Amino acid sequence: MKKIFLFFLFVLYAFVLEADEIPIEFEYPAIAGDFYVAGTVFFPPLSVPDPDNILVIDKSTEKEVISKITVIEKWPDGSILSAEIVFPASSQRKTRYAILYGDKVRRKKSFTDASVLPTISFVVPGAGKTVESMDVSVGQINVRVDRSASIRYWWYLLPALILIFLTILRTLRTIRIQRK
Amino acid sequence: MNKITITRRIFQVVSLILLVYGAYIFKEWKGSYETEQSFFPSLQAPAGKISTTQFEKGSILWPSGATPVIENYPPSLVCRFNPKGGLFKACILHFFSENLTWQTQIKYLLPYITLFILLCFIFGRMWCGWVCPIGTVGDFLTFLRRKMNIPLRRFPQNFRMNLSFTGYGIMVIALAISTIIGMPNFARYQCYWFLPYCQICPARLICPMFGLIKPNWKDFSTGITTTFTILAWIVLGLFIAAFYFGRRVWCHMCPVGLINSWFNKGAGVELHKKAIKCIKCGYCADCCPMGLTKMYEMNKDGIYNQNACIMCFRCVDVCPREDCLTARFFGKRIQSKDFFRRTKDAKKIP
Repeated sequence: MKKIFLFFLFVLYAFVLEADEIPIEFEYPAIAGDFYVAGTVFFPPLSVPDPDNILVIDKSTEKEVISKITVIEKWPDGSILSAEIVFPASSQRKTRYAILYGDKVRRKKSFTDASVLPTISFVVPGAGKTVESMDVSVGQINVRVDRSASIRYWWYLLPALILIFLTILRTLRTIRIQRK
Repeated sequence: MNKITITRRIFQVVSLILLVYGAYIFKEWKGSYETEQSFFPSLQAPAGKISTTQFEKGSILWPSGATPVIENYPPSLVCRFNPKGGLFKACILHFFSENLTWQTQIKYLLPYITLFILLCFIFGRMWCGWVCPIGTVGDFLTFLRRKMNIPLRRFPQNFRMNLSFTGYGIMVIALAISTIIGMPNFARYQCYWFLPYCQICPARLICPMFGLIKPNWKDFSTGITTTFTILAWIVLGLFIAAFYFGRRVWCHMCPVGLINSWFNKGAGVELHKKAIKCIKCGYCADCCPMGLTKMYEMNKDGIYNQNACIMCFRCVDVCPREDCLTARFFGKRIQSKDFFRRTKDAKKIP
């Protein structure tokens, strides 16, 4: 049993170690030629100490793609929370890309000044999709801000605990009757 | 059929109609699905998290067709895959599962959890016997078995215990997966593993058919959806076999029923026995759809609520002795001599 548990822990550990790749999703534009793909990616605490620990790879060749990485926010421990990643792609060569991050990876190809090219936003699975443009009909926009205090919700704890207490009391009584 | 059973059957059918067409009826009545803001906060997927509304029609989680659900209503164990929308939010396992993934603050869940506890405190596991839509479908399968003269299979106590452990195992795994995919490191798996139990629950395949909507039977687009498709078929097969060959065998392993069962022994609805009146005829044990025998075996006066009891009160219905088995509500008798007819056999017993 202990061995099975240890094996399970090992598998989980190995799984977590391998989970440092984020696939990128974007739609190739109708225009022919090169373009930039840009997007913001969030990282867990302690996983990315430096922007050079993030790189973009071409999934078909598994080779690194030149990229520009700008740190947006950092965790209190100093590791990167979110970063904007920009890399070039071409609609002539449709392939899949992924982001690798962690202590194990080291970025070798980078650029700082981007050319004037169209930019497409990418998303990572699980994250909300970004849109290139948004149409808002002109008119009155009503915004309601919920200013109710948390007590509005926390007070439910009292009846919940009372009910659980009563349930436990009644359950104990039933068990006592049945054991007699 | 006796009066309690007839009442229960009517209740089951009405509940099924409300659960399947509730939101549709509400829309016809109110003009829209929108409800007034209540004490219950509207729970939504935060930015970056996946929600059932993000699934396209026809994908593994979603039946074909529109499935509006009135979100503002309290959860009352109703599956959100009802074709015309339920009058309530969702099944409690669905509720916990999606909010673990969304990492919703506990304070927003408290009103729902309190209401759920209140319902369970009052009614115990009555939900399973009187309201549950797939329980109703299962009872219909049992009815078919009786009409086709297929003999009932009785399963031993150990087998039923093992089913409960299996149900707890499924529940723990489903909630663990939901928690893990809610973590930022695993967020990319949300599109595959969101609501893992719902993906294999038989209700996902059965409920849409009541709204004359074809459920999504298969999705072989990825390895994970293929696995879920096959698992869903296996579970549906088990569900049909469980109800067809035995009575309510499925209910022993249903995770939702298991959550309800924690409240059964302390519930307001009680099953009471007066031992001196018992003639050990065994009708109660024989008719129990969950295969429980404790109220037959015990020789003391008292409450015989058991965790697995679905409060169908068939035992009260068939008991030939007046006042031997009674249904009570917080100690007050809700069964009276004149209200429930004795069985014909009962009149023959002195």
